[in-house]
Amino acid sequence: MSDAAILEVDNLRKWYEIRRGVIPRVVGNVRAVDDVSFVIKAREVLGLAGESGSGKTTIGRALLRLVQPTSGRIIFSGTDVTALDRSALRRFRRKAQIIFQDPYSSLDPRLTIEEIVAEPLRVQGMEPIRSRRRERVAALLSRVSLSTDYLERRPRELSGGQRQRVGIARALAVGPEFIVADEPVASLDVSIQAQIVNLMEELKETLGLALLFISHDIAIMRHIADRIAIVYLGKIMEIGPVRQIVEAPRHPYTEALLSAVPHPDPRQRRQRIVLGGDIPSPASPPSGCVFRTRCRYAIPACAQTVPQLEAVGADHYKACIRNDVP
Amino acid sequence: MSKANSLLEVRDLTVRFPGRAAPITAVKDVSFDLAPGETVALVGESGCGKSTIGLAIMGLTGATQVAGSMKLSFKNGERRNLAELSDRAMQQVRGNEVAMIFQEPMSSLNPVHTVGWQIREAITRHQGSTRALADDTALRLLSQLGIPDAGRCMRSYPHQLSGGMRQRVMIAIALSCRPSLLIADEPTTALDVTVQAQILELLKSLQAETGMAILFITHNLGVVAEIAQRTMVMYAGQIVEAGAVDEVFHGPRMPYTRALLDSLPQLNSRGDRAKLSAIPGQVPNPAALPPGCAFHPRCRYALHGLCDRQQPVLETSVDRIVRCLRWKEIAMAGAP
Repeated sequence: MSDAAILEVDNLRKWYEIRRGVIPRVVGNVRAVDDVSFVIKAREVLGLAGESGSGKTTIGRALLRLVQPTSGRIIFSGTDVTALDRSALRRFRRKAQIIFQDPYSSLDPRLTIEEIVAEPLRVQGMEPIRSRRRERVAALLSRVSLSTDYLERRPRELSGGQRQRVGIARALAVGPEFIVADEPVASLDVSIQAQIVNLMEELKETLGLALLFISHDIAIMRHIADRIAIVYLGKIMEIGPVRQIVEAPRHPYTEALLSAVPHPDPRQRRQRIVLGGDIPSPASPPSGCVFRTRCRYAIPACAQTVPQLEAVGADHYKACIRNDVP
Repeated sequence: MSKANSLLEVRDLTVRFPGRAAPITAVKDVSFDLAPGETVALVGESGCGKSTIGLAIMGLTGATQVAGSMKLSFKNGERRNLAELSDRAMQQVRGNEVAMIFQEPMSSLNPVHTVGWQIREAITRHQGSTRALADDTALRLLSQLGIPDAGRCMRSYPHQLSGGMRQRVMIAIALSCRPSLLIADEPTTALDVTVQAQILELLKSLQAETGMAILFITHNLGVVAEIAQRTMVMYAGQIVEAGAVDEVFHGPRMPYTRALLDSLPQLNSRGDRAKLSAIPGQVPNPAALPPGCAFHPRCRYALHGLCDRQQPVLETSVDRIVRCLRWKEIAMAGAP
């Protein structure tokens, strides 16, 4: 891809302190995100896939400074987001927005759809003239295929899919270049999911947006993402072009994750790798490779060193010391 | 399927909830049979009535009108219509004959009691065993479900367990009295795919051991393909297509089934970023169903003057059921 990076994440870390005692003192850390680095190019969709507790949502929120990173740098169009003051942060959010998972809890039930979509404009002091603002909101609604009839309605009158369209319109209101979409279709029905994924794909094309698309559903990534990063216990296990990752995964975790996806074809029975046990606690992650406790290829050396991302193909990296598997 | 060997025979089940103006029909004229030991998947999107069917069999629909019959063969050989049983008699059915597991194990478990207490409660209530005996059974069940250190799990509170563990505990409670039918309502929806794979494998092996039948309620067609032999597709409170999973998935007759299958994101789709084929519009409000076929406003094959006027009836051939006025034409035209 010839486009330059719009976002560069270096050694991002978000640790939450665990405090105990009458006079609370720090007794440990929950390593929600631990030393994560990646770039997102202009007009690119990077998928972020992983199970619950992998840190994918925290990564998304840290990029927009909705949570304050513990350390690391986030360079957006040349400036370090982690160092922005209040007013600079507000200006930054004209360029970077978010779409949330649950369209039921992320829209204020007391506001009309017009007020919801206009809110970011108000916060940013854009379109102060009322009639102009209304025109802009109407245009945004039509972008997401909602008619102007919805301007005066409230969220409770809308279905889940329509609400998510409102959430998208709100994110687009300030004209961002980059959007974090945090599980935007996870709470929708299958038939509606496809509508929203297609809409996002189309908006991305026409508006030239870059997206961080967070999802636990790898099959959806196949339809929207250019590249995909697989995260486990706060770390990136593998990152590369979607097609390569899905068709020829190089990390044992990716392999197991893909094999667990139920396939809607009763005639295709695949070899399933059932991972034993649960994801370990991020408060006391395993030494060395964090996946080794559930990895079927683990060898004693895996406990010794933390594997770094190394190139295994064009634009394709994995963090695993074994090059002979899978 | 012969009725003689069916475990459960549901006929013309209709469930109405009180609505603001008129009663809302959540389930309409649903009929099906379940054989001992088989897994049947009930699929559909939110609001289609699939969960209501499960609750109706359990007698848990609350203040509603339930019409139709649900004949169940009991373990003692009796055959009784669950719709006619008293609340007291239903208490004996729940747990002993039919058990149910739900989507979110956290909200189905009691947060103030230990896991052991809750499994023991189910066993002593339904089987009148002593505490010690119930504890033994609970321990055995938990280890059978692949829970490491079952003793410690017994002493844990639900919040101390992971989602997968909690669902195992729910399954342990459900299976504690050896029911002949397990109703599983979206049991893996709240779980990660890797944990979902564990639970599906577990249910399959438990079924092989106990010979129980499973009515598996889900919106996930991938899960259906993994676990069920037969499937029933629901839309707006009615069964619109039913048959062997393999046949329904490879030759869907009802346009809704076809559209649902087409809208699924495919992991192994060819090329890059294939566009998903979405179903336009949205699931209809059960209080205001469209006239004619309930699916016609979203159906690409809908014929003006036919599908919006006439209600399609269920057409049954050997082991296939379809509810569509035009399915034969569509099949003959070799729809894409």
